[in-house]
Amino acid sequence: MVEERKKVLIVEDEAPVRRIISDMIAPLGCEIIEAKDGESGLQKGLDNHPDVIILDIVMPGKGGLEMAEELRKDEWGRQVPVVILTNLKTARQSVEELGGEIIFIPKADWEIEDVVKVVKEILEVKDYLGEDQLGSGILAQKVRERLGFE
Amino acid sequence: MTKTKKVSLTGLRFWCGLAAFLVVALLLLFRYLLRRWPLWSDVVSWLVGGGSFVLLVEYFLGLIRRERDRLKELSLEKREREVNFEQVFNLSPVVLMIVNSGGQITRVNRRVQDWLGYQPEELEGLDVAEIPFLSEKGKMKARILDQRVKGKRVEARELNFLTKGGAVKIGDLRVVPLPQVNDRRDDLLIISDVTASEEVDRAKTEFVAITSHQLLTPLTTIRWYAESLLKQEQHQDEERLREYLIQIYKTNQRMIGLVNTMLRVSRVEKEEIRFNLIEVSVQELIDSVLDELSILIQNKDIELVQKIEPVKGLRVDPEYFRIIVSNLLTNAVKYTPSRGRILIEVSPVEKKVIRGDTGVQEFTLTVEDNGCGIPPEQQKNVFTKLFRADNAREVDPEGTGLGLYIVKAIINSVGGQISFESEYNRGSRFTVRMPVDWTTSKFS
Repeated sequence: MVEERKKVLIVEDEAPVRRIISDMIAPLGCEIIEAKDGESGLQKGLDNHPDVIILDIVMPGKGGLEMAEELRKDEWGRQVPVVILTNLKTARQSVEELGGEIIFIPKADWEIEDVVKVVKEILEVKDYLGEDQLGSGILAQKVRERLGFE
Repeated sequence: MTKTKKVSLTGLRFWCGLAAFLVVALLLLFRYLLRRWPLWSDVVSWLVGGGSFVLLVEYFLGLIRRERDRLKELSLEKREREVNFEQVFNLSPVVLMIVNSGGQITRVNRRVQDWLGYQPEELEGLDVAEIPFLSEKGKMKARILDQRVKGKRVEARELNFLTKGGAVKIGDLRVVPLPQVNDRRDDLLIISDVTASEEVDRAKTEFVAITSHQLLTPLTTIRWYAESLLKQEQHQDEERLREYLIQIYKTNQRMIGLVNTMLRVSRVEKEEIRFNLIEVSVQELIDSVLDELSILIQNKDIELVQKIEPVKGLRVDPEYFRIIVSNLLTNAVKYTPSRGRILIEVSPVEKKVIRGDTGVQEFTLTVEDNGCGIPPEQQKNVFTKLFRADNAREVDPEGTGLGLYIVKAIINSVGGQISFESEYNRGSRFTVRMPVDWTTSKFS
């Protein structure tokens, strides 16, 4: 049986950052979808239903938080794991209030390698948890436990 | 205090009067004893008697008058002091409130009206705990009493004050005990407005936060690229290695640009600039700026029209003049789409000779484009620090919002002006008018 390729959506306005995340995740064998602002990010998310969304906060026009809020209003959007990748450490609380499967990563403190590990872990845990369990935060918690961070 | 009349003069009149009175008295006595006085002596004696009586009365009246004048003077002085106090009290740039020993407000100055919108009359008579504009009223009374008892100084910084209209102002509060008079000891509350300096502080802190964040992003990018290069698996191919290094280089350049811009802002604000004035050719300067932008202009296939008249005697600091030209041209190129059109005009201003006063020779520099324009509601913020219009942000997310701020500061410092017209999605036209010779500017 051919396993469907996993999809990863990267929503980030800075091209170099999009580039390197994309390059680093490529070895995981996923299909990578890119968006450069909140507007198109939301659209591509709802159109493609990726398995995980990597989201930046500071973007022109619709920012990451606004996009995530709207995303969470959608049936599917409520359970999709979102990795928030940002330098805005002060946004942590607002991010966690979004609920669902959320992982907050302050870019400046993390190595790109570890970011990739998080994505990989999310895809694995998602597999064995099953879709119906998603949305409660249990996936995010498991990922944090397995990788050993807050 | 005016001097009273010379005592000697008064004394003389008194003694004359008294002497005359005594003479009359004696004469009358004689008359009585001798019972034989000619009529004329009667007349004389009565005249003298009457005169001396009048003199005595006048003397006493004089005393009374002098006393009355003295009291009037004292009262005038008191009035003058009171008026001075009222003036000082009401003209004070800080809010002053006098609170009596019972905690009641007895006087409030007019400043409270300017600053908080309350009339002094509305507040006088209230207990300190009832002050409508203070959020910590109860504490205020307790503080004052506490201070009285223990002789402590009461000082509170950056308290919130509510205006009558509901706005919030920020002020420092001090309570100063007034000297005891009889058995009364009042306190003076001094409230000074620090809203402005608070805002300046806040703006500075915000600036630091924003620029730090702006630097953090490219720094993170470089770090990730470097990390990836250091890991074996990633640079299997030369191509990627080269691409990553180029990205690191470009991002680094961007940061240097940002830091330089911030340093420039700092220097402009602290007025630490010193111009190096030399004669330059405006065409050469513009050409060199266009050189830098040539690739971008070509890539976007932008039509460039130049109408540059020579400006005689142009004596400026080339580095700073360049900043102005470069900023305006770079903006025009950035915010104009492919196949757009940019017009650059330079011409000396027709000098109007008024009564032999030749004034300052000026010239204008205009940069016009048919690009994305500036939305009307955002136009008033164009020259403010860190401002970026929403549509500008979409076109170029990396802009700092400092370019036009610096440009305006430089132009103002040489005694020039900058203005613009802009229509959303139609284009913009920026016009700079400056003296040809910057020698008289404040940075020369």
